[in-house]
Amino acid sequence: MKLAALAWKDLRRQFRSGLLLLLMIGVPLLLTGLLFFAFGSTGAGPTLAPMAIAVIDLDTPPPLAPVTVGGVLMRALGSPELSPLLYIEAASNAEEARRRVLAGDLAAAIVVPAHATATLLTGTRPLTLELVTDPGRPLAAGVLGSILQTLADGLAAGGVAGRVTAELADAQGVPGSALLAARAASTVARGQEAATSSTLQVVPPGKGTTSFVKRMVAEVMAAMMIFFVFFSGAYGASAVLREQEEGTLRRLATTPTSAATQLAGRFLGIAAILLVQIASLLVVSSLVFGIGWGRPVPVVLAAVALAVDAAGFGVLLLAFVRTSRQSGPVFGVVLTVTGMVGGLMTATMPSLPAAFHTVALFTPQGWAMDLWRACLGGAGVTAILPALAGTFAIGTGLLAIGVPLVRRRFAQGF
Amino acid sequence: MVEAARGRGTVPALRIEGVTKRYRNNVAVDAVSLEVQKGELVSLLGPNGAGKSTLMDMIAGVIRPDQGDVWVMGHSLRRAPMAVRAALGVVPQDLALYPDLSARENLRFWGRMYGLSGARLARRTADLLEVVGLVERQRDRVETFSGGMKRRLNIAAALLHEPPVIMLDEPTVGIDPQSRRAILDYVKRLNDEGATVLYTTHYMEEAAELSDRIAILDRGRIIAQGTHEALTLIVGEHDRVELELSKAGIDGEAAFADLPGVLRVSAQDRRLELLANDGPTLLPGLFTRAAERGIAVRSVTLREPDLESVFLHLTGRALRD
Repeated sequence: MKLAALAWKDLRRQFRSGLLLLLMIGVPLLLTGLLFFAFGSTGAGPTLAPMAIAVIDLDTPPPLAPVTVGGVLMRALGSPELSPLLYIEAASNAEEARRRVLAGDLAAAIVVPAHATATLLTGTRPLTLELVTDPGRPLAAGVLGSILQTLADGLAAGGVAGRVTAELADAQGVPGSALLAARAASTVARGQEAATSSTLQVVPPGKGTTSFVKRMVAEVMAAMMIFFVFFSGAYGASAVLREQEEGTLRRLATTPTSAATQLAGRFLGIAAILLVQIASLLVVSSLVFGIGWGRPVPVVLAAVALAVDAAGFGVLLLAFVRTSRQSGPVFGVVLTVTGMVGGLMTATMPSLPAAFHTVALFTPQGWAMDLWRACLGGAGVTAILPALAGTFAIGTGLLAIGVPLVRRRFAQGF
Repeated sequence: MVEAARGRGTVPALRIEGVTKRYRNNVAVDAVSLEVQKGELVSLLGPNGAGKSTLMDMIAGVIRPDQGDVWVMGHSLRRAPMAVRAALGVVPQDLALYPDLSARENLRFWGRMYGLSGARLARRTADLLEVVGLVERQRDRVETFSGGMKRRLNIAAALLHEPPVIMLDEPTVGIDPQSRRAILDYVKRLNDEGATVLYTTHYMEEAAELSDRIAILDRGRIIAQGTHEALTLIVGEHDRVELELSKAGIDGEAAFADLPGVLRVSAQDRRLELLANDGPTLLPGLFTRAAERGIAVRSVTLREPDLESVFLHLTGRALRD
């Protein structure tokens, strides 16, 4: 009864503040929303805003070639299926294109080298296409790299098919074998273009396929949720400081309520606040951004683990803060730094060194991010167990360290 | 310590024995012993810093005494702290309410902390809102209340569980005269209804008006206790003469202590207090001495023996020092 009253009181006080509600629920959604709409969301779900790409064709194809590398590339990249992602510009000056990429005018430039078609058809050496990207736009590099690789594979397959056809024709004395080889290569390459377009097609939500952008928005939302839940945990714990200043902590000590009950009630209150926050963020982000958070049981377990983790960290931080005024800056710095180290600001960056992930696991936020990433990937209970156990262990460990410190710190109140 | 009289009753509702609290080299409360009988209203009177609030905190179990023990309704604070807390209703000196909760929500919360629930909690909440005159404002947040309303609610929160012993720590500090009157009347009423009350104040008029007995606390020690009448007898027929001087910094003791009939002199800023055998006889000599020393006197007040005189007599200092 007393436990519930203590928790209910904290819950009610926290959710009575409009500013706090904005920070707990509004800001994480807003930050994710900015990313979501920056990528040109329509009502159908998240998509990429078209990227400007320049293709510089320096090729001089053989006179009878019915297909050219530049032509294949332009047709593939300019296909209707890729038009929501790419906007193609033809260009003739490779240096000028490189300069525009660095200036940010273009997302990338693709340079088709001289004799590219001849190289493809004869197979005397590997065909190399040059992709120029801005290091500050890793997303463009990732998407285009993937498209080009698929195209290059297709072209290589076409070249091989053409050469085999030509050799067979020569062996059987068929006239015009070179032309035949080129047609064979062209046929294979066109087939590959179609396959490329199909692979990159953006599938609307609900068909079991998660697009790259959708996954990115989901991971950013998870990171924002974890970041702000940790803030709420610390703020909830710092309610003790405010009660100390209001005199209510001292008054509580005059009632027949044991220190253990007071602490347990306090923890229950923080956990309840965090669970309400997490549930609100999950539901609203699911409705607004179409995020599929994963299977219900793992998501519920992850929510509880995140609440324990954040509350534990909040209780530990509380032991080192003197006043409620001091708590703001201290919590801000500590939670931002640990959030950054925990990978919350780089949740969607590809190709981070493995060491970064290892370092992240030294923070409670790092474990929580792993857990939610697993949930977003549709993992079941068994698959999330390591991250779940790690998150719970860190949360309870922080509590075990924090509670005695807090009791000593608030000796008169607890 | 001066033992001036005994209160009524035989079984103490509150018994304090040898309670001591030290902070490094400073002794805040020094071996204080006091008994309050059931149904008695006892005031702890003393200047700021005398140790009143520290003593109250130790009785309430907020801070642990270095020595001694407290018994409330027979329960030892050391052995059964929860039973002691359940028998006490503590009104802290500073407001201790949740400003962003309503009056009603505050009372319901504190009631639950005292173990109340269901119909009893609802009834006590409604009763106390009525008693402290906050029925109309019960759903408003406390942060919107006036100082007097907050003080009244602060008292109500300590009475929800109908405690047999009520402790009020300077409940009238910083409020308007009307609210002060209402609080004093309510404390008197609680006592009339049978509650044992321990009331701390540094206003001697409050102590004189409310109390069956008064314990005077100075520098952590009880220096006198008894009824108002018994305490004033300590100073006999002595009068208190208050002088207001035109400027501060005058050594009053040097100027007036050797006048015939002056027993003690206490000075604070521009005020001088003299304890004298016979005030009216002293006045001509007092004015002559003031004129000789070039001391301009702006006003003179002659008072009958009171608690201020007692404190001055016992400590050589004014109660408000």
